[in-house]
Amino acid sequence: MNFVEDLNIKGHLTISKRDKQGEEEVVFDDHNIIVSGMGVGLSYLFTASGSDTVTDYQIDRVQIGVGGPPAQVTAGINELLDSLATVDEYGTGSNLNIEEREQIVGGVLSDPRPFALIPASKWSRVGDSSVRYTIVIDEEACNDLTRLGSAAALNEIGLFMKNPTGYQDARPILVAYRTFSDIVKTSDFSLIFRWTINW
Amino acid sequence: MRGEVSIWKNGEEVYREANLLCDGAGILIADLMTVSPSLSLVEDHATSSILDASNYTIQAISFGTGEEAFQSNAHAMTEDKQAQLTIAYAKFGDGDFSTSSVPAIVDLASGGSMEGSSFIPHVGLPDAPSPIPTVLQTGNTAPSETINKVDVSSVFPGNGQLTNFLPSSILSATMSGTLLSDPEDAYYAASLLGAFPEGAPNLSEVILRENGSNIVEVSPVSGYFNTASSMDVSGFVNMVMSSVPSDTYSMSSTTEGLCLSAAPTFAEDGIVEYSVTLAAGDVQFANAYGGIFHLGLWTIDREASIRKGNTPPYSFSVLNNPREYRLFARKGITKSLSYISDDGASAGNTNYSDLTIKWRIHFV
Repeated sequence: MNFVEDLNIKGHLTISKRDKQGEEEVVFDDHNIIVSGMGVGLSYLFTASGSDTVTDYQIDRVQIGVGGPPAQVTAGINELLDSLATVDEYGTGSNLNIEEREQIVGGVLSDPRPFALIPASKWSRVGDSSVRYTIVIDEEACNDLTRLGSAAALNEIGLFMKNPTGYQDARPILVAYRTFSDIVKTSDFSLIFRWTINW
Repeated sequence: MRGEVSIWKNGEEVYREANLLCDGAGILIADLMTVSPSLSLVEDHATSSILDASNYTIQAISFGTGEEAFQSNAHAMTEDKQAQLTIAYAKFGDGDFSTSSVPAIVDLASGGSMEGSSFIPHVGLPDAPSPIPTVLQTGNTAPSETINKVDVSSVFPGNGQLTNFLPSSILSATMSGTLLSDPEDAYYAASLLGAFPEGAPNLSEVILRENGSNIVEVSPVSGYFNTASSMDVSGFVNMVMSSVPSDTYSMSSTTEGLCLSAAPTFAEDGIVEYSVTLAAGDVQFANAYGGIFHLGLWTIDREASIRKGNTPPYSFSVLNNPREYRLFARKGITKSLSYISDDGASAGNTNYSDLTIKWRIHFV
Protein backbone atom coordinates (compact mmCIF):
# COMPACT_ATOMS: atom_id res chain seq x y z
CA MET A 1 0.00 0.00 0.00
CA ASN A 2 1.18 3.52 -0.73
CA PHE A 3 1.99 5.90 2.08
CA VAL A 4 -1.18 7.89 1.61
CA GLU A 5 -4.13 8.82 3.69
CA ASP A 6 -6.64 6.84 1.70
CA LEU A 7 -6.99 3.22 0.77
CA ASN A 8 -6.46 3.23 -2.95
CA ILE A 9 -8.27 0.18 -4.27
CA LYS A 10 -6.73 -0.96 -7.52
CA GLY A 11 -7.26 -3.72 -10.00
CA HIS A 12 -5.45 -5.35 -12.89
CA LEU A 13 -6.83 -7.50 -15.67
CA THR A 14 -5.12 -9.85 -18.06
CA ILE A 15 -6.96 -11.68 -20.81
CA SER A 16 -5.53 -14.75 -22.45
CA LYS A 17 -6.70 -16.72 -25.44
CA ARG A 18 -6.24 -20.47 -25.13
CA ASP A 19 -6.59 -22.68 -28.17
CA LYS A 20 -7.60 -26.32 -28.18
CA GLN A 21 -3.96 -27.40 -28.02
CA GLY A 22 -3.60 -25.54 -24.72
CA GLU A 23 -1.44 -22.72 -26.13
CA GLU A 24 -2.05 -19.44 -24.33
CA GLU A 25 -1.59 -15.97 -25.73
CA VAL A 26 -2.01 -12.82 -23.65
CA VAL A 27 -4.18 -10.40 -25.60
CA PHE A 28 -4.76 -7.79 -22.90
CA ASP A 29 -2.86 -6.67 -19.82
CA ASP A 30 -3.83 -3.44 -18.07
CA HIS A 31 -5.36 -1.86 -14.99
CA ASN A 32 -9.10 -1.71 -14.46
CA ILE A 33 -11.55 0.85 -13.09
CA ILE A 34 -12.86 0.38 -9.56
CA VAL A 35 -16.31 1.95 -9.71
CA SER A 36 -18.41 3.62 -7.06
CA GLY A 37 -20.43 0.46 -6.46
CA MET A 38 -17.48 -0.91 -4.48
CA GLY A 39 -17.86 1.92 -1.98
CA VAL A 40 -21.63 1.56 -1.93
CA GLY A 41 -21.37 -2.13 -1.14
CA LEU A 42 -18.77 -1.59 1.59
CA SER A 43 -20.82 1.20 3.16
CA TYR A 44 -23.74 -1.24 3.50
CA LEU A 45 -21.36 -3.58 5.30
CA PHE A 46 -19.81 -1.01 7.62
CA THR A 47 -23.15 0.58 8.52
CA ALA A 48 -24.56 -2.89 9.22
CA SER A 49 -27.52 -1.81 7.15
CA GLY A 50 -27.40 -4.42 4.45
CA SER A 51 -26.96 -8.15 4.54
CA ASP A 52 -25.82 -9.70 7.81
CA THR A 53 -23.97 -12.44 5.94
CA VAL A 54 -20.51 -11.67 4.68
CA THR A 55 -20.90 -13.82 1.57
CA ASP A 56 -23.35 -11.25 0.23
CA TYR A 57 -20.49 -8.74 0.08
CA GLN A 58 -18.26 -11.04 -1.90
CA ILE A 59 -17.45 -10.57 -5.57
CA ASP A 60 -18.86 -13.73 -7.04
CA ARG A 61 -20.16 -12.89 -10.51
CA VAL A 62 -19.32 -11.24 -13.76
CA GLN A 63 -21.02 -9.84 -16.83
CA ILE A 64 -19.51 -9.65 -20.29
CA GLY A 65 -20.64 -7.18 -22.88
CA VAL A 66 -20.36 -6.03 -26.45
CA GLY A 67 -21.09 -2.31 -26.01
CA GLY A 68 -17.71 -0.94 -24.99
CA PRO A 69 -15.99 1.29 -24.78
CA PRO A 70 -18.32 3.96 -23.41
CA ALA A 71 -17.62 7.58 -24.29
CA GLN A 72 -16.07 8.11 -20.86
CA VAL A 73 -14.81 5.41 -18.57
CA THR A 74 -15.20 6.80 -15.05
CA ALA A 75 -15.72 5.50 -11.55
CA GLY A 76 -19.35 6.53 -11.93
CA ILE A 77 -20.13 3.65 -14.29
CA ASN A 78 -22.77 1.41 -12.77
CA GLU A 79 -23.59 -1.00 -15.60
CA LEU A 80 -22.10 -2.41 -18.75
CA LEU A 81 -23.01 -0.54 -21.90
CA ASP A 82 -24.43 -3.65 -23.58
CA SER A 83 -24.10 -6.76 -21.44
CA LEU A 84 -25.04 -10.15 -22.87
CA ALA A 85 -28.78 -10.19 -22.51
CA THR A 86 -29.75 -13.84 -22.33
CA VAL A 87 -28.57 -17.15 -21.00
CA ASP A 88 -28.32 -18.30 -24.62
CA GLU A 89 -25.81 -15.57 -25.42
CA TYR A 90 -23.56 -16.87 -22.64
CA GLY A 91 -23.88 -20.30 -24.26
CA THR A 92 -26.16 -23.08 -23.13
CA GLY A 93 -23.48 -25.68 -23.79
CA SER A 94 -20.81 -23.91 -21.83
CA ASN A 95 -19.60 -24.60 -18.32
CA LEU A 96 -20.69 -21.18 -17.13
CA ASN A 97 -23.23 -21.14 -14.33
CA ILE A 98 -25.64 -18.36 -15.24
CA GLU A 99 -28.04 -16.71 -12.82
CA GLU A 100 -30.58 -14.03 -13.75
CA ARG A 101 -31.04 -11.32 -11.16
CA GLU A 102 -32.15 -7.74 -10.80
CA GLN A 103 -29.16 -5.41 -10.73
CA ILE A 104 -28.66 -2.28 -8.63
CA VAL A 105 -28.01 0.48 -11.16
CA GLY A 106 -27.53 3.93 -9.69
CA GLY A 107 -29.79 3.23 -6.74
CA VAL A 108 -32.62 1.67 -8.77
CA LEU A 109 -33.27 -1.86 -9.89
CA SER A 110 -32.98 -3.14 -13.43
CA ASP A 111 -35.02 -5.94 -14.94
CA PRO A 112 -33.40 -9.33 -14.34
CA ARG A 113 -30.13 -9.73 -16.20
CA PRO A 114 -27.87 -12.76 -16.59
CA PHE A 115 -24.66 -13.04 -14.55
CA ALA A 116 -21.97 -15.66 -14.86
CA LEU A 117 -21.06 -16.93 -11.41
CA ILE A 118 -17.41 -17.20 -10.42
CA PRO A 119 -16.99 -20.34 -8.30
CA ALA A 120 -15.25 -19.82 -4.95
CA SER A 121 -12.52 -22.17 -6.14
CA LYS A 122 -11.56 -19.46 -8.65
CA TRP A 123 -10.98 -16.77 -6.00
CA SER A 124 -7.34 -16.85 -4.97
CA ARG A 125 -5.69 -14.87 -2.19
CA VAL A 126 -2.50 -13.79 -3.94
CA GLY A 127 -1.28 -11.37 -1.28
CA ASP A 128 -2.25 -10.04 2.13
CA SER A 129 -4.70 -7.65 0.56
CA SER A 130 -5.00 -8.99 -3.00
CA VAL A 131 -7.50 -11.40 -4.49
CA ARG A 132 -7.39 -12.81 -8.01
CA TYR A 133 -10.55 -13.92 -9.78
CA THR A 134 -10.17 -16.31 -12.68
CA ILE A 135 -13.01 -16.38 -15.16
CA VAL A 136 -12.93 -18.96 -17.92
CA ILE A 137 -15.08 -18.35 -20.98
CA ASP A 138 -14.78 -21.78 -22.50
CA GLU A 139 -14.99 -22.80 -26.16
CA GLU A 140 -18.76 -23.17 -26.03
CA ALA A 141 -19.42 -19.82 -24.38
CA CYS A 142 -20.27 -16.44 -25.89
CA ASN A 143 -20.01 -17.55 -29.52
CA ASP A 144 -21.77 -16.21 -32.59
CA LEU A 145 -22.99 -13.04 -30.93
CA THR A 146 -24.83 -10.53 -33.07
CA ARG A 147 -26.18 -7.03 -32.71
CA LEU A 148 -28.41 -5.45 -35.36
CA GLY A 149 -27.78 -8.37 -37.65
CA SER A 150 -23.99 -8.07 -37.54
CA ALA A 151 -21.38 -10.07 -35.69
CA ALA A 152 -20.66 -8.54 -32.29
CA ALA A 153 -17.33 -8.65 -30.49
CA LEU A 154 -16.74 -8.96 -26.75
CA ASN A 155 -15.16 -5.75 -25.48
CA GLU A 156 -16.26 -5.03 -21.90
CA ILE A 157 -16.45 -6.92 -18.62
CA GLY A 158 -17.61 -6.12 -15.10
CA LEU A 159 -17.20 -7.69 -11.68
CA PHE A 160 -20.14 -7.65 -9.29
CA MET A 161 -20.65 -7.79 -5.54
CA LYS A 162 -23.32 -10.38 -4.86
CA ASN A 163 -26.01 -8.79 -2.74
CA PRO A 164 -24.96 -5.95 -0.42
CA THR A 165 -28.51 -4.88 0.46
CA GLY A 166 -29.29 -8.35 1.72
CA TYR A 167 -32.50 -8.82 -0.25
CA GLN A 168 -33.73 -12.40 -0.31
CA ASP A 169 -32.84 -12.79 -4.00
CA ALA A 170 -29.39 -11.47 -4.78
CA ARG A 171 -29.26 -7.96 -6.20
CA PRO A 172 -25.73 -7.50 -7.48
CA ILE A 173 -23.91 -4.20 -7.92
CA LEU A 174 -21.05 -3.42 -10.31
CA VAL A 175 -17.73 -2.91 -8.48
CA ALA A 176 -15.06 -3.07 -11.20
CA TYR A 177 -15.15 -2.50 -14.93
CA ARG A 178 -12.85 -2.73 -17.93
CA THR A 179 -13.09 -2.43 -21.67
CA PHE A 180 -10.74 -4.23 -24.02
CA SER A 181 -10.07 -4.55 -27.72
CA ASP A 182 -12.72 -6.36 -29.70
CA ILE A 183 -12.57 -10.14 -29.47
CA VAL A 184 -14.93 -12.06 -31.73
CA LYS A 185 -15.39 -15.23 -29.75
CA THR A 186 -15.58 -18.56 -31.60
CA SER A 187 -15.52 -22.18 -30.54
CA ASP A 188 -11.85 -22.40 -31.60
CA PHE A 189 -10.59 -20.95 -28.35
CA SER A 190 -11.47 -20.09 -24.80
CA LEU A 191 -10.81 -16.83 -23.00
CA ILE A 192 -9.28 -16.65 -19.55
CA PHE A 193 -9.72 -13.45 -17.55
CA ARG A 194 -7.38 -13.12 -14.58
CA TRP A 195 -8.56 -10.16 -12.57
CA THR A 196 -6.65 -9.07 -9.48
CA ILE A 197 -8.11 -6.60 -7.02
CA ASN A 198 -5.80 -5.03 -4.45
CA TRP A 199 -7.46 -3.43 -1.44
CA MET B 1 -11.75 5.06 0.67
CA ARG B 2 -10.51 7.69 3.09
CA GLY B 3 -11.24 9.00 6.56
CA GLU B 4 -11.08 12.07 8.71
CA VAL B 5 -11.09 12.66 12.44
CA SER B 6 -12.69 15.60 14.20
CA ILE B 7 -12.58 16.39 17.90
CA TRP B 8 -15.33 18.28 19.67
CA LYS B 9 -15.01 20.04 23.02
CA ASN B 10 -17.87 21.89 24.72
CA GLY B 11 -19.91 21.78 21.53
CA GLU B 12 -17.16 23.23 19.36
CA GLU B 13 -15.02 21.49 16.80
CA VAL B 14 -11.43 22.03 17.89
CA TYR B 15 -9.61 19.74 15.46
CA ARG B 16 -10.16 18.12 12.08
CA GLU B 17 -7.68 16.22 9.96
CA ALA B 18 -7.41 13.25 7.62
CA ASN B 19 -6.67 9.85 9.10
CA LEU B 20 -4.35 7.12 7.85
CA LEU B 21 -5.92 3.89 6.70
CA CYS B 22 -3.70 0.97 7.61
CA ASP B 23 -2.72 -2.15 5.75
CA GLY B 24 -5.13 -3.95 8.09
CA ALA B 25 -8.02 -2.35 6.21
CA GLY B 26 -6.99 -3.98 2.95
CA ILE B 27 -6.31 -7.28 4.68
CA LEU B 28 -9.75 -7.22 6.27
CA ILE B 29 -11.50 -6.70 2.93
CA ALA B 30 -9.41 -9.40 1.26
CA ASP B 31 -10.35 -11.67 4.18
CA LEU B 32 -14.05 -11.14 3.71
CA MET B 33 -13.79 -11.51 -0.05
CA THR B 34 -12.22 -14.95 0.25
CA VAL B 35 -13.92 -16.56 3.24
CA SER B 36 -15.48 -19.78 2.02
CA PRO B 37 -19.25 -19.55 1.39
CA SER B 38 -19.49 -23.28 2.02
CA LEU B 39 -19.16 -22.59 5.76
CA SER B 40 -22.85 -21.69 5.67
CA LEU B 41 -23.59 -25.36 5.09
CA VAL B 42 -21.87 -26.42 8.31
CA GLU B 43 -24.42 -27.07 11.04
CA ASP B 44 -22.02 -26.13 13.83
CA HIS B 45 -23.11 -22.67 14.98
CA ALA B 46 -19.58 -21.46 15.78
CA THR B 47 -18.38 -22.36 12.29
CA SER B 48 -21.28 -20.85 10.38
CA SER B 49 -20.98 -17.73 12.58
CA ILE B 50 -17.68 -17.00 10.86
CA LEU B 51 -19.85 -15.66 8.04
CA ASP B 52 -21.57 -13.12 10.29
CA ALA B 53 -20.92 -9.73 8.72
CA SER B 54 -20.27 -8.12 12.12
CA ASN B 55 -16.97 -10.02 12.28
CA TYR B 56 -15.73 -7.85 9.41
CA THR B 57 -16.68 -4.36 10.58
CA ILE B 58 -15.14 -1.80 12.90
CA GLN B 59 -15.67 -2.85 16.49
CA ALA B 60 -13.42 -0.77 18.75
CA ILE B 61 -11.38 2.37 19.27
CA SER B 62 -8.29 2.82 21.42
CA PHE B 63 -5.84 5.51 22.50
CA GLY B 64 -2.06 5.56 22.58
CA THR B 65 0.95 7.69 23.36
CA GLY B 66 4.70 7.72 22.76
CA GLU B 67 7.00 4.90 23.91
CA GLU B 68 8.88 7.00 26.46
CA ALA B 69 5.60 7.94 28.13
CA PHE B 70 5.23 4.33 29.27
CA GLN B 71 8.43 4.62 31.32
CA SER B 72 7.62 8.04 32.79
CA ASN B 73 4.75 10.02 34.25
CA ALA B 74 2.29 7.88 36.26
CA HIS B 75 3.83 4.74 34.73
CA ALA B 76 7.04 5.23 36.72
CA MET B 77 7.83 4.48 40.37
CA THR B 78 9.83 6.59 42.81
CA GLU B 79 10.36 6.25 46.54
CA ASP B 80 7.96 9.07 47.22
CA LYS B 81 5.36 7.55 44.94
CA GLN B 82 5.69 4.18 46.63
CA ALA B 83 5.11 5.82 50.00
CA GLN B 84 2.01 7.55 48.66
CA LEU B 85 0.71 4.30 47.18
CA THR B 86 1.17 2.61 50.56
CA ILE B 87 -0.95 5.32 52.18
CA ALA B 88 -3.56 5.03 49.48
CA TYR B 89 -3.57 1.23 49.71
CA ALA B 90 -4.36 1.38 53.41
CA LYS B 91 -7.47 3.35 52.50
CA PHE B 92 -8.29 0.93 49.72
CA GLY B 93 -7.82 -1.96 52.11
CA ASP B 94 -10.74 -0.60 54.11
CA GLY B 95 -12.86 -1.11 51.03
CA ASP B 96 -13.75 2.55 50.89
CA PHE B 97 -14.16 2.99 47.15
CA SER B 98 -16.68 5.80 47.53
CA THR B 99 -14.03 8.49 47.90
CA SER B 100 -10.95 7.07 46.30
CA SER B 101 -9.62 3.86 44.75
CA VAL B 102 -6.35 3.25 42.89
CA PRO B 103 -4.80 6.64 42.26
CA ALA B 104 -2.65 7.78 39.38
CA ILE B 105 0.38 9.25 41.11
CA VAL B 106 2.79 11.36 39.12
CA ASP B 107 6.08 12.21 40.79
CA LEU B 108 7.69 14.85 38.61
CA ALA B 109 11.05 13.30 39.45
CA SER B 110 10.15 10.50 37.01
CA GLY B 111 9.30 12.72 34.06
CA GLY B 112 6.82 15.29 32.98
CA SER B 113 6.71 18.94 33.86
CA MET B 114 4.34 21.66 34.93
CA GLU B 115 3.22 24.65 32.90
CA GLY B 116 1.80 26.74 35.70
CA SER B 117 -0.69 24.39 37.31
CA SER B 118 -1.04 22.12 34.29
CA PHE B 119 0.76 18.81 33.95
CA ILE B 120 2.61 18.16 30.69
CA PRO B 121 3.61 14.49 30.46
CA HIS B 122 6.97 13.32 29.16
CA VAL B 123 6.32 11.46 25.92
CA GLY B 124 9.42 11.55 23.73
CA LEU B 125 8.65 11.19 20.06
CA PRO B 126 5.59 9.09 19.25
CA ASP B 127 5.76 6.80 16.22
CA ALA B 128 5.50 8.59 12.90
CA PRO B 129 2.41 7.84 10.79
CA SER B 130 2.75 4.61 8.87
CA PRO B 131 0.19 2.17 7.48
CA ILE B 132 2.36 -0.83 8.33
CA PRO B 133 2.41 -1.20 12.15
CA THR B 134 -0.32 -3.30 13.70
CA VAL B 135 -0.27 -1.43 17.01
CA LEU B 136 -0.58 2.26 17.81
CA GLN B 137 2.90 2.58 19.31
CA THR B 138 5.80 0.23 18.76
CA GLY B 139 8.60 -0.49 21.23
CA ASN B 140 8.46 -1.13 24.95
CA THR B 141 5.01 0.10 25.97
CA ALA B 142 4.75 -1.39 29.44
CA PRO B 143 6.10 0.18 32.62
CA SER B 144 9.50 -1.39 33.33
CA GLU B 145 9.25 -1.06 37.08
CA THR B 146 9.90 -3.76 39.66
CA ILE B 147 7.39 -4.55 42.36
CA ASN B 148 8.48 -7.08 44.98
CA LYS B 149 11.20 -8.37 42.60
CA VAL B 150 8.76 -8.77 39.72
CA ASP B 151 9.08 -6.64 36.59
CA VAL B 152 5.58 -5.45 35.73
CA SER B 153 6.33 -5.68 32.02
CA SER B 154 7.19 -9.37 32.36
CA VAL B 155 3.66 -10.06 33.59
CA PHE B 156 1.81 -7.47 31.52
CA PRO B 157 3.74 -6.71 28.34
CA GLY B 158 2.63 -3.54 26.63
CA ASN B 159 0.22 -3.59 23.72
CA GLY B 160 1.08 -0.18 22.31
CA GLN B 161 -1.75 1.74 23.91
CA LEU B 162 -3.25 3.02 27.15
CA THR B 163 -4.70 0.13 29.13
CA ASN B 164 -7.43 -0.12 31.75
CA PHE B 165 -6.23 -1.69 35.00
CA LEU B 166 -7.30 0.88 37.59
CA PRO B 167 -10.88 -0.20 38.45
CA SER B 168 -10.81 -2.41 41.50
CA SER B 169 -12.86 -5.16 39.88
CA ILE B 170 -10.44 -5.31 36.94
CA LEU B 171 -7.24 -5.22 38.94
CA SER B 172 -8.29 -8.00 41.30
CA ALA B 173 -9.38 -10.26 38.44
CA THR B 174 -6.43 -9.64 36.14
CA MET B 175 -3.71 -9.88 38.78
CA SER B 176 -5.12 -13.06 40.31
CA GLY B 177 -2.89 -16.04 39.60
CA THR B 178 0.04 -13.91 38.46
CA LEU B 179 3.31 -13.06 40.19
CA LEU B 180 1.61 -9.84 41.24
CA SER B 181 -1.36 -11.49 42.89
CA ASP B 182 -0.55 -10.25 46.38
CA PRO B 183 -3.21 -7.55 46.92
CA GLU B 184 -0.70 -4.82 47.72
CA ASP B 185 1.53 -5.74 44.76
CA ALA B 186 -1.55 -5.86 42.53
CA TYR B 187 -2.56 -2.44 43.75
CA TYR B 188 0.87 -0.97 42.95
CA ALA B 189 0.96 -2.65 39.55
CA ALA B 190 -2.50 -1.37 38.62
CA SER B 191 -1.42 2.15 39.49
CA LEU B 192 1.59 1.83 37.19
CA LEU B 193 -0.39 0.31 34.33
CA GLY B 194 -3.26 2.81 34.41
CA ALA B 195 -4.87 4.49 32.76
CA PHE B 196 -8.59 5.28 33.08
CA PRO B 197 -10.55 6.13 36.23
CA GLU B 198 -13.26 4.18 38.01
CA GLY B 199 -16.82 4.28 36.79
CA ALA B 200 -19.42 6.32 38.65
CA PRO B 201 -20.34 6.39 41.47
CA ASN B 202 -16.80 5.34 42.40
CA LEU B 203 -14.01 7.86 42.03
CA SER B 204 -10.32 7.85 41.23
CA GLU B 205 -7.74 10.51 41.85
CA VAL B 206 -4.73 11.96 40.05
CA ILE B 207 -2.08 13.04 42.54
CA LEU B 208 0.71 15.30 41.29
CA ARG B 209 3.83 15.29 43.50
CA GLU B 210 7.07 17.22 43.50
CA ASN B 211 9.80 17.09 46.13
CA GLY B 212 7.58 15.12 48.49
CA SER B 213 4.53 17.39 48.33
CA ASN B 214 1.28 17.55 46.46
CA ILE B 215 1.48 20.41 43.97
CA VAL B 216 -2.11 20.69 42.72
CA GLU B 217 -5.21 19.54 44.54
CA VAL B 218 -7.49 17.77 42.10
CA SER B 219 -10.86 16.34 43.07
CA PRO B 220 -11.42 12.61 42.48
CA VAL B 221 -13.28 11.84 39.27
CA SER B 222 -14.93 9.02 37.40
CA GLY B 223 -14.89 8.19 33.69
CA TYR B 224 -17.42 7.13 31.10
CA PHE B 225 -15.54 4.05 29.92
CA ASN B 226 -15.69 2.30 33.27
CA THR B 227 -19.13 3.63 34.12
CA ALA B 228 -20.49 1.98 30.98
CA SER B 229 -18.01 -0.94 31.16
CA SER B 230 -17.25 -0.23 27.52
CA MET B 231 -13.45 -0.53 27.73
CA ASP B 232 -11.71 -3.85 28.19
CA VAL B 233 -8.55 -4.28 30.24
CA SER B 234 -6.45 -3.89 27.08
CA GLY B 235 -7.87 -0.44 26.39
CA PHE B 236 -10.28 -1.23 23.56
CA VAL B 237 -13.55 0.72 23.71
CA ASN B 238 -16.28 -1.47 22.37
CA MET B 239 -18.80 -0.67 19.64
CA VAL B 240 -22.17 -0.48 21.38
CA MET B 241 -24.44 -0.32 18.34
CA SER B 242 -25.34 -3.15 15.98
CA SER B 243 -26.28 -0.90 13.05
CA VAL B 244 -26.90 2.73 12.15
CA PRO B 245 -29.94 4.35 13.80
CA SER B 246 -33.30 3.96 12.11
CA ASP B 247 -36.98 4.55 12.88
CA THR B 248 -36.94 1.51 15.13
CA TYR B 249 -33.38 1.67 16.44
CA SER B 250 -32.29 4.79 18.24
CA MET B 251 -28.81 6.24 18.54
CA SER B 252 -26.90 5.21 21.64
CA SER B 253 -25.12 7.76 23.77
CA THR B 254 -21.50 8.30 22.81
CA THR B 255 -20.69 8.17 26.53
CA GLU B 256 -21.59 4.47 26.51
CA GLY B 257 -18.99 3.38 23.98
CA LEU B 258 -18.20 3.59 20.30
CA CYS B 259 -21.29 4.53 18.29
CA LEU B 260 -22.13 4.14 14.64
CA SER B 261 -24.18 6.52 12.54
CA ALA B 262 -24.74 7.54 8.95
CA ALA B 263 -27.08 9.78 7.02
CA PRO B 264 -30.03 8.12 5.26
CA THR B 265 -28.11 8.85 2.06
CA PHE B 266 -25.14 6.68 3.03
CA ALA B 267 -25.63 4.48 -0.04
CA GLU B 268 -24.99 7.54 -2.23
CA ASP B 269 -22.34 9.42 -0.25
CA GLY B 270 -20.78 6.36 1.44
CA ILE B 271 -20.03 8.21 4.69
CA VAL B 272 -20.04 6.28 7.95
CA GLU B 273 -19.34 7.99 11.27
CA TYR B 274 -17.88 6.43 14.41
CA SER B 275 -18.10 8.54 17.56
CA VAL B 276 -17.20 8.24 21.21
CA THR B 277 -16.98 10.63 24.14
CA LEU B 278 -14.22 10.69 26.74
CA ALA B 279 -15.25 12.07 30.11
CA ALA B 280 -13.19 14.89 31.54
CA GLY B 281 -11.92 12.32 34.04
CA ASP B 282 -10.85 9.96 31.27
CA VAL B 283 -8.90 12.78 29.63
CA GLN B 284 -7.30 13.81 32.92
CA PHE B 285 -6.14 10.28 33.67
CA ALA B 286 -4.91 9.71 30.13
CA ASN B 287 -2.83 12.86 30.53
CA ALA B 288 -1.28 11.55 33.73
CA TYR B 289 -0.24 8.37 31.89
CA GLY B 290 1.30 10.14 28.90
CA GLY B 291 -1.50 11.82 26.99
CA ILE B 292 -3.24 10.82 23.79
CA PHE B 293 -1.10 11.04 20.65
CA HIS B 294 -2.58 8.12 18.74
CA LEU B 295 -6.13 7.03 17.98
CA GLY B 296 -6.94 3.69 16.39
CA LEU B 297 -10.04 2.12 14.86
CA TRP B 298 -10.03 -1.65 15.08
CA THR B 299 -11.83 -4.55 13.46
CA ILE B 300 -11.89 -8.10 14.73
CA ASP B 301 -8.96 -10.23 13.61
CA ARG B 302 -10.95 -13.37 13.01
CA GLU B 303 -8.02 -15.66 12.32
CA ALA B 304 -6.08 -14.52 15.39
CA SER B 305 -9.18 -14.90 17.55
CA ILE B 306 -9.72 -18.45 16.33
CA ARG B 307 -6.03 -19.30 16.81
CA LYS B 308 -6.44 -18.30 20.46
CA GLY B 309 -9.21 -20.83 20.77
CA ASN B 310 -12.10 -18.39 20.60
CA THR B 311 -14.87 -19.11 18.14
CA PRO B 312 -17.52 -16.68 16.97
CA PRO B 313 -19.84 -15.10 17.81
CA TYR B 314 -17.41 -12.96 19.80
CA SER B 315 -19.16 -11.36 22.76
CA PHE B 316 -17.32 -8.39 24.22
CA SER B 317 -16.00 -8.85 27.73
CA VAL B 318 -14.12 -6.32 29.86
CA LEU B 319 -12.03 -8.90 31.71
CA ASN B 320 -11.62 -11.79 29.31
CA ASN B 321 -12.32 -10.40 25.89
CA PRO B 322 -12.31 -13.20 23.29
CA ARG B 323 -11.74 -10.70 20.50
CA GLU B 324 -8.36 -10.18 18.93
CA TYR B 325 -8.29 -6.91 17.04
CA ARG B 326 -6.76 -5.70 13.78
CA LEU B 327 -5.83 -2.06 13.26
CA PHE B 328 -8.01 -0.63 10.47
CA ALA B 329 -7.18 3.07 10.65
CA ARG B 330 -5.07 5.28 12.82
CA LYS B 331 -4.63 8.93 13.54
CA GLY B 332 -1.46 10.46 14.91
CA ILE B 333 -1.76 13.79 16.69
CA THR B 334 1.16 16.13 17.20
CA LYS B 335 -0.38 17.80 20.26
CA SER B 336 -1.91 15.54 22.87
CA LEU B 337 -5.69 15.45 22.97
CA SER B 338 -5.34 15.73 26.73
CA TYR B 339 -3.20 18.87 26.61
CA ILE B 340 -4.45 21.41 29.09
CA SER B 341 -3.27 24.86 30.10
CA ASP B 342 -4.22 27.20 32.88
CA ASP B 343 -7.17 29.39 32.07
CA GLY B 344 -6.96 32.57 34.06
CA ALA B 345 -7.58 31.64 37.66
CA SER B 346 -8.42 28.01 36.80
CA ALA B 347 -5.61 25.51 37.14
CA GLY B 348 -5.46 23.35 34.04
CA ASN B 349 -5.55 20.14 36.05
CA THR B 350 -8.90 21.08 37.55
CA ASN B 351 -10.39 22.22 34.28
CA TYR B 352 -10.68 19.24 31.92
CA SER B 353 -13.67 18.89 29.60
CA ASP B 354 -15.39 15.99 27.91
CA LEU B 355 -14.04 15.32 24.41
CA THR B 356 -16.06 13.77 21.61
CA ILE B 357 -14.22 12.05 18.77
CA LYS B 358 -16.04 11.81 15.44
CA TRP B 359 -14.28 9.62 12.94
CA ARG B 360 -15.73 9.51 9.45
CA ILE B 361 -14.85 6.92 6.85
CA HIS B 362 -15.75 7.78 3.25
CA PHE B 363 -16.32 4.64 1.23
CA VAL B 364 -17.35 6.38 -2.01
